[in-house]
Amino acid sequence: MNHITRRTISLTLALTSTLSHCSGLQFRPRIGIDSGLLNITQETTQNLPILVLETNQAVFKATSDVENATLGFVDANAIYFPNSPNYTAVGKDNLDAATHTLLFGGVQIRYLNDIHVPSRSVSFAPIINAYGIMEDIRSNPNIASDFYTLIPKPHYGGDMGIAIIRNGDSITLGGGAKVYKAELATSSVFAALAEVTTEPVTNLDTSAFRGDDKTPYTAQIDDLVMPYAYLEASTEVGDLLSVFVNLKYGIPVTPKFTEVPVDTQMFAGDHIAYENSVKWQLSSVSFGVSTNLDGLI
Amino acid sequence: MIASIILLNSCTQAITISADITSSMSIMTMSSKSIIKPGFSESPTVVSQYVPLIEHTDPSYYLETIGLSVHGAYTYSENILMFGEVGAKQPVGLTYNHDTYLFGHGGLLMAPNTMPFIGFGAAYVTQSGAKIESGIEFTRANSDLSSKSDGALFHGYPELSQTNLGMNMLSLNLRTGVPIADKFLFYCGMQMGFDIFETNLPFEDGLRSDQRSALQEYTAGTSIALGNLYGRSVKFSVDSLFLGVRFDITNIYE
Repeated sequence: MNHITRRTISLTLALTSTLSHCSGLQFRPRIGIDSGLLNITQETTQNLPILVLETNQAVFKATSDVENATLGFVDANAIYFPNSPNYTAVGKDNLDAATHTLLFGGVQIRYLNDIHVPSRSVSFAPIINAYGIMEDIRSNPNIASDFYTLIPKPHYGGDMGIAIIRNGDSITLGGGAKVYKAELATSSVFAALAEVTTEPVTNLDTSAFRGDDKTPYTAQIDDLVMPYAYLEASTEVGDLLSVFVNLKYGIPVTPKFTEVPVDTQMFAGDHIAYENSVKWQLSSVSFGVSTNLDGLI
Repeated sequence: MIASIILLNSCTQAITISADITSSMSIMTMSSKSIIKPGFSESPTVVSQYVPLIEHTDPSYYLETIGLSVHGAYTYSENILMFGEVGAKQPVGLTYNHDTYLFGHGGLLMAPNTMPFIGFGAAYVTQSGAKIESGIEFTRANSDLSSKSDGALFHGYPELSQTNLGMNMLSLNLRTGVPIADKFLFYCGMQMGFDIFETNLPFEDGLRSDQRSALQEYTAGTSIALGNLYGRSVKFSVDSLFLGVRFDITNIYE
């Protein structure tokens, strides 16, 4: 049987033939789990949040106001409550990390010349992937020792690469980017700092640490392009399914926060300095299955 | 019509021994709880003065390792293998250059040593000789852990350390390997850790919660230990992505 090799990309799907593997443009839906490994490195020192107090005598409230006269307070750590604007910084070289496991779904477009299976010959195919990553419904990771909670939001990504295919197995190399979305919220440390009072007991404005209604402050990460290089190993199982493990090695980027709360100490008063003091590197590993739509026709 | 199958790695042996070399990027997490502050109660009838807020801080850091292992596989059926492996991983600085890891917002320092591991699981072999493997891995690490006095939490507290801290970690591995040449298999994998095993930290009894709270002043002269700051017992887990090459070194015939 003669097979004509097409040199131009056709938009029509090739039909499965009895002896050769699917050829031409293929659309392959993919689904799986994506485990993100976020590595946060510090480039420069990072300031800790402060609340300036005239008396520099901050204590943590120990009981309700009804009983505070007879029961003792506990001295709060003065680095968070200086009596003039004086930031204490966390050292450079500090490492931080977070992992989150999310579901993803996407489609892969692959163009194959005619190949025969089984075969010892190697084929190359260009690959384009586009995918969406769904919201994690389980608990969200905290970063910076529970200063912040990272809440990943649904986001998407795309990449392209070259697959080296032999006998239904393939190794793909390529690069692309995730357009990352997440929310950063202040967590228990900020909530604890807000529960401070001063002696003599007066009304202390702790809105630098937390909102009036005791809700955490949040900042958004919108459309942060996080590029990566990827490597994928996949193999066909039966006629319809492929199983793959995809490794993405992230390129470090500077995070950018939008909708940052105003006049707060969420980022020690200067979110630009905070952004420039860190690099975020999002690598991930996904494990999933894909199916060849051609095979279903 | 189903195409005829050629097994590229014809396998008549019952047991196969291979050598693996693996490179991985990991996130190591220490699941720990610290007293952030004494909480307070609005209720005038509450008897206890302090209601300590104990929060998970779960500091994590990023680690790159190179591992060597021996992998033994037993052919259970035509498509299923059972395998066991034993090896060790060495932390290396591939993209950065330091052999201690400062984490926990500047408050903790870890110096990991070589980590031996064992694992076992099952693999499905496809018609082309590729393998989809799923297994459990148990890693034992001995590391030196110390607290710093200039971190965000417990600032001003004395620097406390524990050498040779034994960490036991359990994880689930999923791997896909494709044959790339005779006797060589290239694989990519993911590792998901579980917080199961506890590691005990040294702990001083008799300290009140207000003497070991992360956001308050250290009272000079208080005898304190690492476990008072981060929990009497902590759990370590590791999540990774890894890739590697497996080489068949011996075939043992039935």
